[in-house]
Amino acid sequence: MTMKILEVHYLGRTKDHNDGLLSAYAYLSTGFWGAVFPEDVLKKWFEIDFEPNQTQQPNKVETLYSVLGARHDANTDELRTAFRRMARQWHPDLCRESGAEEMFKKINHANSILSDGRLRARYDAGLALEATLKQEQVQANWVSKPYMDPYGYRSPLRCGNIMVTGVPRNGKFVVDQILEWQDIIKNNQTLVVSWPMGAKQPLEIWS
Amino acid sequence: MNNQIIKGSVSAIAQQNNMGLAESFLSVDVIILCDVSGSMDAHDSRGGRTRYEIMCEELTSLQKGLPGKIGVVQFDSQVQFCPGGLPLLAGGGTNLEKALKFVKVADLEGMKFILISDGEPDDRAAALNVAKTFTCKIDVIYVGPESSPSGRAFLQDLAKATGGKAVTADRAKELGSTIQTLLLKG
Repeated sequence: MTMKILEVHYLGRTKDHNDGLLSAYAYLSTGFWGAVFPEDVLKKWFEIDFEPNQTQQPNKVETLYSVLGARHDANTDELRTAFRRMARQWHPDLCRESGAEEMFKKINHANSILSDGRLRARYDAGLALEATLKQEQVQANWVSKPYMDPYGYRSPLRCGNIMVTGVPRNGKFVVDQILEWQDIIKNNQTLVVSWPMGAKQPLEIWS
Repeated sequence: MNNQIIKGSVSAIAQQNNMGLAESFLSVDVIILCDVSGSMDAHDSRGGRTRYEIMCEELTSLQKGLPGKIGVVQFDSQVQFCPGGLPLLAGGGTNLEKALKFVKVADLEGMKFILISDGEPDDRAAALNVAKTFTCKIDVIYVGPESSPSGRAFLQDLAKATGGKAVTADRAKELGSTIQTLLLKG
């Protein structure tokens, strides 16, 4: 097991790379697709509820917290930081990713609820009640939006200095845990990366 | 729990707006705690129907009239959130203490609680102690027989402990109007 910091410039969608594992390849600052992030590692970091080894279960749900990439127990400052980071990465003026505008609206909507103490408490109560439902009831009662994306899971953040643990395998570093995720900042500017439709390389913008 | 989703329920609103249930819960102002213990199966309500059947009928009507505003929780020996809007007759004991602890998570500013029961919990003192920790009022509707004054008296005590109101639904015959009255009077 090795710990290292990866300077990831672009993280793709997850898919099966003929190894039976859903994972996303990461394009590193070295100009190579040099790291592999399994889907469950990403979802664990972004707080998307899931059952390991049951990847098609309907309780893989998106919450307002996962939209912001924040923990359920995040304090006000942490939520504000998460919102700003996510809003910057998905701002339609900077991000050329398909669905950026829709994602930006979702981020703003999530923030409008979670930044209001009264609404957040009400939402947390709803989450707590929802969590008591059994699997078959979850399905029958539209408990949460199931996370289903026919094109694979797309990480809310696509770049960053990411502290991870993992192991080297077949020339790539396979991540098994994310420990920290910081923006890539140079000269007080933050890197925003997206991959425009049809482009051969990711588009990097410093803002 | 009943898997049926009725009009105006929390699940129905979530479906309509393509949102998660927790988000749909943001609009809930009232949590109705429904006793589904064995005694709710008594056939002493209008038309010879059970207290449970009348309760479901009134819950259906209420949620239709107040879409998204009502969260339903059922309890007997176990407690269960019913986002689809209707409880399922279970027939076990009456663990009111557990039910109150369950909904305590929603004891938040602006929330109202209404307990519908025949007032015969497994442990009255324990239930009362939990009720006393609530910051919101708990209104109660007694649906038991008039010949059981102790059940009614207990529910009155519980309501009083939280500053809530206690009313009798005349064996569930006027449950809907009773709940409307409690809601309107705040």
